[in-house]
Amino acid sequence: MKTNQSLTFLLPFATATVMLLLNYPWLSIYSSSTLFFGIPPLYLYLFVLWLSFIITIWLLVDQQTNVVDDSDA
Amino acid sequence: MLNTTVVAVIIALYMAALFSIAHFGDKRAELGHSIISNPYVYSLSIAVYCTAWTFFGSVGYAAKNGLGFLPIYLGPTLMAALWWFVLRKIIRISRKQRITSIADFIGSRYGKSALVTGLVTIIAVIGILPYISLQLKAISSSFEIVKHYPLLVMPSASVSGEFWHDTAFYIALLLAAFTILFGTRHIDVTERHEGMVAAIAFESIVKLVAFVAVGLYVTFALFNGPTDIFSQISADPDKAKLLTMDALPGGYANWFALTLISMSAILFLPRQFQVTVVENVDDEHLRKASWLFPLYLLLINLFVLPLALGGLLLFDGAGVDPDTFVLTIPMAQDAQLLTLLVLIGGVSAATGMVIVATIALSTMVSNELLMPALLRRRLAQQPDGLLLESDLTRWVLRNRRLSILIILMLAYLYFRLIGESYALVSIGLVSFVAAAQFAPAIIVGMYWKGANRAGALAGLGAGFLIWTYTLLLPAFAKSGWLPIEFVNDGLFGIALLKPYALFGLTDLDHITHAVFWSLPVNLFLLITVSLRSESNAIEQLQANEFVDAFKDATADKKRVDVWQGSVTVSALIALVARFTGEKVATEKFNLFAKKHNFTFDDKTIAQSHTHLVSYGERLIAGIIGAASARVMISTLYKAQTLNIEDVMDIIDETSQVVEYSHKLEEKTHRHEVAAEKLRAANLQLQELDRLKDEFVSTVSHELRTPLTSIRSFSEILLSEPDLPAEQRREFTEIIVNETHRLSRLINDVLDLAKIDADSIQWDIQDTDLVALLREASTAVSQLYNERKIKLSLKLPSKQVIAKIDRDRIIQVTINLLSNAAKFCEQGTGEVTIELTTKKQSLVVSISDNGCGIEPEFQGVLFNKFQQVDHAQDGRPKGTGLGLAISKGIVEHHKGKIWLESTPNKGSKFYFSLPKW
Repeated sequence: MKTNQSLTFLLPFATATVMLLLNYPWLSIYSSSTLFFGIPPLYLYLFVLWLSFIITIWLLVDQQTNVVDDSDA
Repeated sequence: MLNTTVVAVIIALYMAALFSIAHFGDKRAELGHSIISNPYVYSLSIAVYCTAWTFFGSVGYAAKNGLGFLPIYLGPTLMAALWWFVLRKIIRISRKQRITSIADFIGSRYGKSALVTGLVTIIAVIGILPYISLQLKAISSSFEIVKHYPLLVMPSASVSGEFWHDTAFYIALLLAAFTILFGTRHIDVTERHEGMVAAIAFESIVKLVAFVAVGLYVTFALFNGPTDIFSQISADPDKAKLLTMDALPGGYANWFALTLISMSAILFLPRQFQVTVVENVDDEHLRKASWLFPLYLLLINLFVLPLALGGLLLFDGAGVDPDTFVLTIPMAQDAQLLTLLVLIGGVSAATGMVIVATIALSTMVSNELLMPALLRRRLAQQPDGLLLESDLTRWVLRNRRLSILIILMLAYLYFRLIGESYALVSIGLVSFVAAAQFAPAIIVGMYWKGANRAGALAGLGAGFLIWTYTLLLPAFAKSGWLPIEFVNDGLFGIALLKPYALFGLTDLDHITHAVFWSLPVNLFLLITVSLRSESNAIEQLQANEFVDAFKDATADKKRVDVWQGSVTVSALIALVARFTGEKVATEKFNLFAKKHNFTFDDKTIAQSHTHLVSYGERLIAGIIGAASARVMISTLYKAQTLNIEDVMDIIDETSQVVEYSHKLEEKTHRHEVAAEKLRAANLQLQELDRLKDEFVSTVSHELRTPLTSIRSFSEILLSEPDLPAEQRREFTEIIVNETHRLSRLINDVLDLAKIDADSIQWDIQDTDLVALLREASTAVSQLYNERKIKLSLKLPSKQVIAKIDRDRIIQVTINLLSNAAKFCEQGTGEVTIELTTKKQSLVVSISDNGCGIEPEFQGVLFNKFQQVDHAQDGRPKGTGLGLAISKGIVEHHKGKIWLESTPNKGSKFYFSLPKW
């Protein structure tokens, strides 16, 4: 990330991606009662995805304070 | 030891702690040291989203539907990612417009319409009532359960007996008192409640700690970690499906619908709007809040599934309501302190929601419904009466408190009528669908200027009607307050009108069904009606303000003050002071005056200072909402009350003036250009006039010279008859020569005049230029022979055809040849005629080896009567018009004439003719 431009504008795309990942058919892949290391795959998938998305938000909004922000437009 | 008294005392202590936090927060705010002005408190206050529904209901829902509770928290996470774009804009707009509630926001967007604001308020109140009643239900059943400690007794399914024996009624009263203490202690211009926000943030910590504590206790103390719970569940084929998507009642459609409505809920539930927008201190806090709040949601949801599954394993078939697992599991294990912590956590989750929601709703009800109605009535009764009342603040507060009480009593009523027959989550979701109806009007309105009042009314109205028909009325029917046949068989027995299967949409659960009907219809009507209807002036003004919120620097200048008439500044201050207090009002206006560089006294007219009246209006709007503020300001104008037509007129007038001045500017510019041209033409005319005078004097002078000599010689001949014949002959010869010269002069002048006036009859024909030049040289051969000057011709051997007036070009050539002869030394002179063919033109050059022409003469040589007047010794004198005539002739042929000359070395005259 050697750019001086704020990357916050990428957030809507990240959101759209996660929105797709949180729907059919992605969920159906993990919809199984066979445990994965003792954890239900659906539970694991949702929470891991959730946490990664929170980290993404943190990177794209909170870590962009020192760069030029032009997201006003 | 855990009995009713102990519980009551502990809850009372907790409430006291909350109140002191709120008090502390308010005190600090007054001193200017805000304790809520940081992103962490802001994020925690947004967590008011997690209510008793989350605390108790999620576990209950998970016990039946597996992970189906998660979209309610995943949706807000998705939305939080977009806060930096969407919510920041809402906050910016609200700050500028002094928005006090979501109804105020939507109403302001659609032309400060009281109708829109009123409709939104009604939807909000009716829509949120189930949600508040859910909290009442949660708190009262928690008390009922703990009351029987250590026995596990489920509260009875239906409420019987008089309401004064009902715990929930007293809880509602208690909460009303509490909310009044919290939310209406004073009235602030920004409608912010710092103390309340601090208390809410504290409650968010309490409920998180309590929930995580019970989660850890169940997962690690009662079981051997989450894997233990999950493996026990997956061993049971009946319960194993709770780990998959199959457990969801409506499948993927339900999952998607819940995500969608919770995305809008996080922004547009009235209490969320209150904490995220109205109570926001600095929009930079969004940077942290947009990931901290989702993190909070993740933490509080982490143990929901383990708790629910653990509860199922522990109370397998024991008749314990899963909605109470959080409380009943520690009770069953005799964990007293944990039970107490959970009870406090649940109470904090519920009270937080009730306090904020009730404050938000009461602000709306009092500002948007009660105040405008009361103001209008009083205005009608006694037009001047309103201004005589000294302090309206108390009146506003009384309204606010009354609204709080009404709302909580209505929520209790809903609880009594319906609440008992539903699970917590189902009640809450009904409210979510109602709040989602605001999303189209807000989101579309924020990004599309075309959305207008009619569209918003149509969209909101239709969405609300569908919600009422598909969710609210069936709920009443199921509780026995309406005939159940209308749910089972459809209205009037028409199957297509079944509220849970409208127009044959049968495959969905009730919530998803309502979402998929109401939101598309809402959005469709908003857009189509907006497209088909006209916006009035205020609507357009507000649409611009909202859509262009981030472009405020330039937009501000163009804003039009909609108030017309004359009101003194002091009257305006007096009015504002009735709401804000004397001190604040004076301070605010002095600040405004300072910022805009003007001073005012009692008699200053407010309108002359741009936006001053609107500023006052916004100050009042901060307390009583935009619609009421307009009514208040209009009282100042009495007879001049503003109506839409007036605003239209003002704006029309303004645009007309702008257009008129624009036209004027254009005209002035055109006149300037014309004047410039005229000036140039005038100069040219003056020059021409001067030239004409000069010409006339030169011509008369030139004519007089030969005439004088003719006359004098004739007189001599007449007076002296005995002159010798030799002399007589000489004199007569002079007379003849001078006459020739005179007639030549007159011919030249006439030629020139004709050329200048362009009245020559040109006889343009195909002519062989070579032959023409030969003819010309023959014509002058006499002269050349006399002066012994050598004339050589360098002409092409073939014909060179040009479209010319033959006689005139011969005239030019002869003129140039005789000039050349004049300037050559007798005997040694050499003149050359040359014809060259160039790409686009034919060039004739006549060169001599005469005395040449001084550079200062070269420029003016082609002017009239210009003669090289040095060393005329004995050479035939010309008229001085020859070259001017030649120039006129060549230029008429679209050619050019010019010369090159070096003094004492000779001259070369050129003229060019275009090729045809």
